[in-house]
Amino acid sequence: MGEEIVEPREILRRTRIEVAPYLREIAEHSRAIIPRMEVSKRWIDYYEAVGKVRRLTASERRRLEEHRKAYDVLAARREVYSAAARYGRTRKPTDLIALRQAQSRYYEAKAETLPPEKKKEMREKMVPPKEMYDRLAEIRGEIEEKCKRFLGVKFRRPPYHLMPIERKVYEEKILGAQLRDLYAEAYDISQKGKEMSELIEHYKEMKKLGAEI
Amino acid sequence: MDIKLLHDLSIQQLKAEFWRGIDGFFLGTYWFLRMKNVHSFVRDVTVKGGLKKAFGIPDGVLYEHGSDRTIKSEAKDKFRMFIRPPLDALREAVCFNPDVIQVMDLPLDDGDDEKRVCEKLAINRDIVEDYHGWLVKNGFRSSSCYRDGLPKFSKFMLLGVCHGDYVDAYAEEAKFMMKKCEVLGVPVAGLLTHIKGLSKKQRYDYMFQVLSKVLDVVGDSRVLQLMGFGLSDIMEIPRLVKLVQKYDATVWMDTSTLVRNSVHARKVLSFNVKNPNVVEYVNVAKVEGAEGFSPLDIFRENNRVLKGLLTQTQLLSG
Repeated sequence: MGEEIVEPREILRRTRIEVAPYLREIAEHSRAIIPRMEVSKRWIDYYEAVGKVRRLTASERRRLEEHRKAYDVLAARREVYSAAARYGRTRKPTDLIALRQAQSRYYEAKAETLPPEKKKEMREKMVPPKEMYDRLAEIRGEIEEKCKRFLGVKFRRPPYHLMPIERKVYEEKILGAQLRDLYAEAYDISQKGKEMSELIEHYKEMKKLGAEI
Repeated sequence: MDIKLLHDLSIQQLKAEFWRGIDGFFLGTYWFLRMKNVHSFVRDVTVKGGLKKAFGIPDGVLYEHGSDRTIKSEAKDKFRMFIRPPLDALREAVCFNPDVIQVMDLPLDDGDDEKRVCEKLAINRDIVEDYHGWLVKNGFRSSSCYRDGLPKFSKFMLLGVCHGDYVDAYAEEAKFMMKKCEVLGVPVAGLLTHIKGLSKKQRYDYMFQVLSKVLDVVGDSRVLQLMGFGLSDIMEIPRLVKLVQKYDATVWMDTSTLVRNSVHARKVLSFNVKNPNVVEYVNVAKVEGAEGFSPLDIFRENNRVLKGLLTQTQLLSG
């Protein structure tokens, strides 16, 4: 026997009847998660059932996608609450890891609800600037070359083995200074880091203020 | 108690699906920072939603993003410390969407005097604060905290590395790090290789002293990561398991030795026929049935054997 074909109008009617008690529960408890999940689940089932009878319209497909995303967010939120409660009871590192992973999934599910263009824009905003990588690659090449030469001069490897001692000392000094400048430049590229002296000052101040360091 | 193995994998190894069937992996920045088009690689991974999504790695596999390695130098030059500012490295780490981000740290050198050690430890602590502050500012962590100091919400876990020049110093660092970090790293590799004039047994004794002190402070409240504990000496497993059982702790182990032996040396973990109590890495040519193993086969076999050994040891010790 084949599966009974139900009219879309009938499926809609059944879905509305099934959803009604959950909507009443949401009206009473605005932050309830499970009734919201049930509502989303019923609507997902509705659109899937209608999709078997006829082709879904563009707005129906959009609503189905929205319900799916909402269901994922709610499921992730529920997982976060249960993981947080478990960690609160046990305080075990394994539960802490589970909590953090649940929170990460929740964050991802929330990000999925953004429109694709905005999501891409948000992600691209985080990528560090290209210039930083290019300059770092250049500096790394220069440092490698200078280090090779420095070692060659220091340990008198060919072709520097016949270099007179005065010239050797001079070369070492010059190369050392150049290397130091390169490292300094690599450090200063984005002007966001702190220098060691600043960090030490900050540490002393914190200590003076009685911070537990 | 729980012991997990985290493998130090490269981008090529991830492409070759080394991640199948493992607990987790560690990706150091040195694997991609030397690539020709680093920026486009980072951008591609970011747009795809992170490294796991880009490589099709399942959610259950833990991904730990390493920090830049600092430049080792004898010179007392302040600029030789970091190749780039820590917050830039953090921003890049966020793009890779890992589970755990390693906080950039300054390792201690043998030649450091007490003042220098204090300065370095202070800097390490400041970087942890900076990382936490940046994540809160950018909405990845909440500013509200539990009583123990950990934020109530965080998208990423932080791995703080506890350095020290004597046993209690590690414990002190752990006490500070545990307020902001979910995972605490102890750099045990240096303890096992860089101490001169000590026998292998004495080195392991010292390492276990350090771990005991740190576990006294941390207990079973945080994950402890043994950084660079490649298990070159498999026979030390029972001692480690006993210690972990004593504190009911959760430990993650870096297994760089396992990856190195599998991929480069092509050695499998096997029993010695003459002395069945010894387990060691042996070249595939000498092991019956393993002659035609590819590096991936060897890696999976070694991972399976090591996990089996850990489970058996736990059962026997319990």
